[in-house]
Amino acid sequence: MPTKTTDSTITRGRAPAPPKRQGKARLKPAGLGWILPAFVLSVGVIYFCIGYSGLLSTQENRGGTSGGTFIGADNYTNALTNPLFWGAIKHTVVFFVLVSIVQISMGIVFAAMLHSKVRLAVVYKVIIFLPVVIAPAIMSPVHRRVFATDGPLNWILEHIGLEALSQSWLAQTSTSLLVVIGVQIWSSIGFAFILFYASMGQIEPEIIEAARIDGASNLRVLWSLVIPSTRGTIFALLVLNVISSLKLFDYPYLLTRGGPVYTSDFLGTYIHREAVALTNLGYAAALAMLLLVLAIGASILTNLRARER
Amino acid sequence: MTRTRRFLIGAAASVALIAGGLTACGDTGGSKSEDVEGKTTINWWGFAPDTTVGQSYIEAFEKANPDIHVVYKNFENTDYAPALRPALQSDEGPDIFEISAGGNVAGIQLWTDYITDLTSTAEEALGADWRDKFAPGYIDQLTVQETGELAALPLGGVGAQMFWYNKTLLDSLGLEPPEDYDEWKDQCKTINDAGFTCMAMGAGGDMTFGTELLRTVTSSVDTEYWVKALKGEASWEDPIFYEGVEILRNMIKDGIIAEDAIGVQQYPEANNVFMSGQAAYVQMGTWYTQYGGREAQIVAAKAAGVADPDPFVMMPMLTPNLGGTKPGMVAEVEWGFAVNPKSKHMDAAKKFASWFTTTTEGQEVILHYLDIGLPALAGLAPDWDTIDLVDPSIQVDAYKEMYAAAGETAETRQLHLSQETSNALVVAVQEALATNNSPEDIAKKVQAAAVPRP
Repeated sequence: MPTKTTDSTITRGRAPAPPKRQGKARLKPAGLGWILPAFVLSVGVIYFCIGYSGLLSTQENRGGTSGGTFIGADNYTNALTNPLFWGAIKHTVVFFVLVSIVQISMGIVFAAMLHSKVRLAVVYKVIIFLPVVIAPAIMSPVHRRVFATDGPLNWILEHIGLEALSQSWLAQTSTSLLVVIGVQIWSSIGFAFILFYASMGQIEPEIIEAARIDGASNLRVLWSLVIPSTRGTIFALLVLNVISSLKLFDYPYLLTRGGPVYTSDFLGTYIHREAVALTNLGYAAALAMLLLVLAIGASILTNLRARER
Repeated sequence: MTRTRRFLIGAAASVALIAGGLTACGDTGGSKSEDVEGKTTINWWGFAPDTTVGQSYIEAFEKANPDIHVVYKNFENTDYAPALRPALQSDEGPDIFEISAGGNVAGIQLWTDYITDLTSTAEEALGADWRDKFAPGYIDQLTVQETGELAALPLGGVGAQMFWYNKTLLDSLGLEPPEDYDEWKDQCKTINDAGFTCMAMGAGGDMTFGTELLRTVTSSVDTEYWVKALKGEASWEDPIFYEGVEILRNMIKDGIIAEDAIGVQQYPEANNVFMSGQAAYVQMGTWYTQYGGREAQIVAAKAAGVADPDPFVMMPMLTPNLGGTKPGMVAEVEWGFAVNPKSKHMDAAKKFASWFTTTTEGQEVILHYLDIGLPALAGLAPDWDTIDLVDPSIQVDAYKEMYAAAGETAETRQLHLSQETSNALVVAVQEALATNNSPEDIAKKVQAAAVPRP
């Protein structure tokens, strides 16, 4: 007999289960067949690749037919003592902090504004969200043009009296990272906006009305009611930003190739350069394993922090 | 239907979906594409020439060899090796690929695991004294030194350490090509003030063109230093290299190089600036001769965004005195055709490689399109009467002089350039142009990263 041990746990015996439960149970074996593609892909491909990367990371391997030579942890030692690795980590941290601050604050502002009675709100929503759905590969040539020395950004600066700010944005070590960050912010605000917009929709209007009756200003309502109510969204965005910052590849590769002089280099571009351009497969695999550890560690930390709150 | 049966159907359907997907992905293999009935189809992958020129080569080859159909796939320089390496490791790679003397695009050292020894093919085509029939050095440069295997048959030679200029633009500004640095600097002010770029250059990304300018200015200080440093016979931490870095840095400060050179890449951006008539100078080698032709230049200008191009007169310029002397050109084998040992059409692939490199007929086709103007077989030259230049009255003599200078030099271009040194120099150029790091600091990093190639 099935024994109901708790509200949600059932142990099965020989006797038939109640009809509702029986239906679900009978679907399970057949369903297993249907999830086989995902199972094979995730276990057979993704986890195999992670394991293979781990093996590769212990080798001096330059591709070719000769295979690799076991060198233990040398690739890890080399990576951890290489200034390029720490430079990429530094850029990742700067990128995460700046993108998160601007993306979250602008997402909240846009969502709050569009929850008030704004004319043509749908148009604004589309405009804000549109960059999210455009592929970086499509937009990067446009951004390269925008930030070119003779591009539209400098043209605008020169025509509004800010000629002193006009510069070669992509060609300078001091500005290339900012360009990557700026473009990422442009492309990701819409995502934050849509999450905050949905999150704010869950707040009971009576609570806000009560606050207003108590004399709370718009800013006070935003700060003391709305933002705390969207805390879950903020932490979700932080977790996503941690992972996307560590995995970042598309914009730095397409906009600056990590340069000049590695000043907009990230772990993704670093790994790609070592693996593809330099065929330093063992070292690239070690970097990839370090990236994996960092991504898992950062996600756990962020989640723990979120739970504490 | 039993539970087991439903499971099996589900599993079978899933496996079929995966298999179908993978099959669809895998069906783009090189040697299966674009088959023509009754003909042997071979695939050729290369970083040069442009697709249109490559297609012209193929048309000529197929006319002479109607039983073979060739499909050409052209890659940007930086994409070539990353695409070719896994292809050669698979069983579906190209039948023919390109190998050059050195460097990180197609250098012979990158491909020694994937070659077919073409010694017997060359001997069969040209006889026992086949080595003597090629231009000096070309065969050695495409031979694996450790094993003596001939990795590729040379198509022709390349000359570099030179510039090209838009004579039409210079004439309109009343200017002549400069003799030395100061003259060039003054001239660039006139060109920049007129709203043009003096010298189009792209040193961004992984491309190595910026390093050629660093070499050129360093060779203006000492003509023999660079190759010694590449071979490991001289240190990069040397006052000659420091001076080269300083000259390069001054070129951007003095308006000779465009301010945003680090922010753009040579291909396509800097190339487009020159081909669209917006720049007076560009540093390129003999491969640029093809754009001296009317049709090729129109195609290139359209690709650069010019709606209705009016071809300009494109002239070669040997390096002015930039640091104390005028360095000559450097030259070596441009690239050669290698045959994939896994090719399923070995005979056709060897025939293709051999026809262009060992027959007068094939070499004349190559020379006609001017992507390669220095023949592999000694004693040949482009037939200028059949080439439609913009202004042959002045271009032909200038081009002949350029090829003569390239043919006379003993200094090689990339033969001694290892992948590691190449990458270190790319970063050195970026540091020189985009940072205030001292030449000594820059040289120190190059010295640490470089791997000599004697």
